[in-house]
Amino acid sequence: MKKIFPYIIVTLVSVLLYLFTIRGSLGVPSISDITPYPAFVSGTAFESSQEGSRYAMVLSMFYDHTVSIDKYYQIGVPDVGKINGHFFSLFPPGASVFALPLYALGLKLGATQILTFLVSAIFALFTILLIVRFMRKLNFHWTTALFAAIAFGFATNAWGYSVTIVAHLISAFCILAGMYLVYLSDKKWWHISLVWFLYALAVFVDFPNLFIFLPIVGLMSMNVVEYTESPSRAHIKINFKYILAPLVFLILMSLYGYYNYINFGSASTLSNTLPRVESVAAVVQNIQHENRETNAFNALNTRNMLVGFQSFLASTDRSVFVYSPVIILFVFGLPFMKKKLKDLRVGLLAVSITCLTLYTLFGDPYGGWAFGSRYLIAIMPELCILAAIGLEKMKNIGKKRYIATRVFYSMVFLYSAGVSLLAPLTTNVIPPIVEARYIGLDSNYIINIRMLQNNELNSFFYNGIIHKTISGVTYYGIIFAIVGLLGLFLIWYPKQRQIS
Amino acid sequence: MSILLSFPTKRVNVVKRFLTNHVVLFLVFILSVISIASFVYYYENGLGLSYNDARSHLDIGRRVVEGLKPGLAQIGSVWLPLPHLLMVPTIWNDFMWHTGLSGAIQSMISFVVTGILIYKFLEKINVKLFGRLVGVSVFAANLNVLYMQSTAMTELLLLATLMSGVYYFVSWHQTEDTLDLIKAAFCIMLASLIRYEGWFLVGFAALVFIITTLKKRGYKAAEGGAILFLTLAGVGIFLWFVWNQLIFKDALYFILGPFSAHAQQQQLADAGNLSTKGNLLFSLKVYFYSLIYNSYAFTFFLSVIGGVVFMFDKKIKWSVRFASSTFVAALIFNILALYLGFSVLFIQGLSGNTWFNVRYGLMLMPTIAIFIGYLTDRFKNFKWVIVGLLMFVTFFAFANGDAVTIDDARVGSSQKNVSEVSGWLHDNAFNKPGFVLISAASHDAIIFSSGMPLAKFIHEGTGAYWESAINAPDRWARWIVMRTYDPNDLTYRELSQFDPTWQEDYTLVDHYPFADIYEIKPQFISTLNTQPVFKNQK
Repeated sequence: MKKIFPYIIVTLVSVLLYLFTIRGSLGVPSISDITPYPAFVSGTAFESSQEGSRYAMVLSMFYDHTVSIDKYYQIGVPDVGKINGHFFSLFPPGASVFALPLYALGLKLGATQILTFLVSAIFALFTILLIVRFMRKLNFHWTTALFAAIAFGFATNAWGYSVTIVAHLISAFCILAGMYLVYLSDKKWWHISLVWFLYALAVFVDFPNLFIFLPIVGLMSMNVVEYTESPSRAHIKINFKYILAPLVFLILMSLYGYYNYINFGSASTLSNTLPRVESVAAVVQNIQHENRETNAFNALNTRNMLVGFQSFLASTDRSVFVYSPVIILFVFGLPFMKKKLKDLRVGLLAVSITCLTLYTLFGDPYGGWAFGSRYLIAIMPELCILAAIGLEKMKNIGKKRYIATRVFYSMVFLYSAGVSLLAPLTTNVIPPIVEARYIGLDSNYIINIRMLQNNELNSFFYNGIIHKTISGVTYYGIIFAIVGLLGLFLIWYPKQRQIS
Repeated sequence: MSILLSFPTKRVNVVKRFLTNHVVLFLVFILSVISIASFVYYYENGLGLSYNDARSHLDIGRRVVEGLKPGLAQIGSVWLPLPHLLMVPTIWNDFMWHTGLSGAIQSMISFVVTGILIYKFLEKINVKLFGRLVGVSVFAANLNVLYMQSTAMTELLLLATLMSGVYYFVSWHQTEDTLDLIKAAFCIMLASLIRYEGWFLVGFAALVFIITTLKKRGYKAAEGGAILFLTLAGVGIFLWFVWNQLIFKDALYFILGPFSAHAQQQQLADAGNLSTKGNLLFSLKVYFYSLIYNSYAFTFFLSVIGGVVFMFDKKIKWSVRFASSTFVAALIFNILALYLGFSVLFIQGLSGNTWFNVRYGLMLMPTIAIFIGYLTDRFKNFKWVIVGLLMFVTFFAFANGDAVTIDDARVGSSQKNVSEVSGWLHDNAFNKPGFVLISAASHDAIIFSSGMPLAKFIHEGTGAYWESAINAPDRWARWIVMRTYDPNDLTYRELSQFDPTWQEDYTLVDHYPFADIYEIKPQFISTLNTQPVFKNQK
């Protein structure tokens, strides 16, 4: 019981918080319900084509048993491509496939949208539990483990994306699971195969994972050859399990290639390279769109990196310092990861830096209209783990410094949680400053605060049950109090166990 | 599920030793192959001579050996002389001149030398083989470096001399061997004859030398050493003043003359285009952007971390670390030059919608490479992560052809597409007798691109020919190329002053964005001088 206690606690808290913040409303929305033409608006379940395009694929797979979204493309535009007379979501199918059983369940319960959107919350919960498992396996105190988990789930902008249908949370889970298997498993052949399976799964969910996951399999595969030397003989050991395991990945990628071939006419054509459907009007008027010559090579450009770094680290509209500063606390964990934690530190940082570097290459590092740096959600669990390690290890540096550290952690956590809660309750759709300045809009969470003050909430629980009883601000205050008090408890709880 | 291969350790060590002992040789070979391949690539795709300045450099070198008034005085004062002097042994050959190889070959050799110096410097601070190779790779796999080493520009030669100067300077701080100090002074002297960054390094290195020597060995040693160092390091600067006095009768001609950088910057300032002048923050921003665009943001930030760790590394003697600050002399110089208005650098998006002189950001590439090589060695656990990410970034840089120096040369303000004018000259003047009157200061690119011998051109460096042609163009110039009504065009300015009615004798045969072409009316052809008659001009 003692062992599973942290898991029970974190599950209960997470379920409660996701229940309070899940988006949308009951019912089985039709396409006209989903498309508040002429544009998506903030404060609704379907705020952007991110949700619409994936939801369209769910509908199509469920009702028509196909991934082409010919009947539903309207709700996905402009994240829709057209090829050979058929419409497809520009996103890979992973998130929609995972959401499919939830849609079926939702149909039975009369709440398809809410149940479908739960896919992210479920994977967020899996990630939270995995974080706890990760930390416990490393022998950290249960409050440290919970701090890492709660920080990720409810003090980063991951929260806003956990209550809608996107790929980020599934990616975060796959990456952390891969990391866990590489560093904390016995590395049996099936562990290694599972890592490659997760790699393929992550690509199936979101294309950039092809690169983000690379350090995990790369660092793991360095065990292929082991070199040892004695005064008389030098030995090279070749481990075949590391050589054969990638076959899992290759087979799954071949299947994915076949999927592309069947649907798009070529194994190497990814859905995000299809000619984009810019608007429904263009389809109605039969306007032909020129083929976009998009591929990974010209989508990722080193010339964008400066703007990318600026956006992720030093902007007011997207930077992690403004939206999810709790992950910056990872720096406290770095100096303490020595001896057996050294390799783990390399892995955690490698994935994080790869993700950051990759997205700086994007022409749009802002993630479109978004809340904070949504692209970095995939690696936030790793950074929260490092932050939590720092929190526990700092107790060895002297009482005064430890208190100061915890005060600092408390302040950062409270701010981070306070900002993060704004998104699930109101909107994820904030224009980047480069667009906002031309259309006279704000480009940060001022928009969310304004919506909150105007009771323009997007929470199913609030809108459906208690909106007549309390104001949006009070509702926000209650949830924030729960998260804040929990965070403070976890930060200040005495951690007696000594970690080697 | 594994197999075990076993070898005698002795044999493995023999292989290891062989590789370690010959690594510099391997590097020279690999870097040379890369260098030649890059030159051929950029020559084949026509980018090798895109820089307007590259063509001017080649013409300056060529004028020393060919033209109406050949001689060393053709080196002029616009640019410092060493790159043009180094061209002299090869520039007489038309192939070497027109392919740009005469200028590029020194850049190519400098590329190999700089790569080796990066390796040797890292070795000097006890970085292991892996880190050294990473450092060299960062430098050699940079598209901007590869492009600039394939052109007749001065950047790579400057990098090689700066780098060698700093290398021996730091060596001296390790060994205190006077020979190292002399070598450092000599290399820095060479740098001072290439670009003004070298001048700054003379002063900066002298200052560093005085501080470290004062601290270690007292005033007398500092004074003596500084005199020794400055005597050799400063001789190039001294000779340049003497040169200007002898040739132009004004020791400060290169600073204040009509074709000096100062005069050009003044025009930009008057037009409101020198926005860095007097604005330190903007100067910093502009230069750092150029650094980042040249080296790629990830590489740059990584090197900053490496630099910080290096400066605080107590395993390295403080004097060595302090002496290594000379690595950033070019950074300080460029920022100061922008701030004081002595230099101009446009970054697209910051200074309008064009690039200009963005290649200045290349000056720290060896430093960046060294700091990354050092970082890889210092953070051994992360070495594969660092290498992996560098490869990742480099792959996309190559995949997208991301070279800001090429953009500057192709579409920025450093390019000048004069093919229409030069093409006209080539088609209509090449095989006909007669001279072309043109200002080399304004139209060197046209002269080069026309493919005609320099002896066909009367320009401001041709002495009696120029003076005669300006006073009586109808006797000397069958064609005149100029920007009509532009007082910055020397031909127009002088003709307007000395023979205001010259246009009556000429027909405007074509008009292009960069210049107009006039041809003498047929009735005057019979009285034209078409042969070089002024021999042995002084």
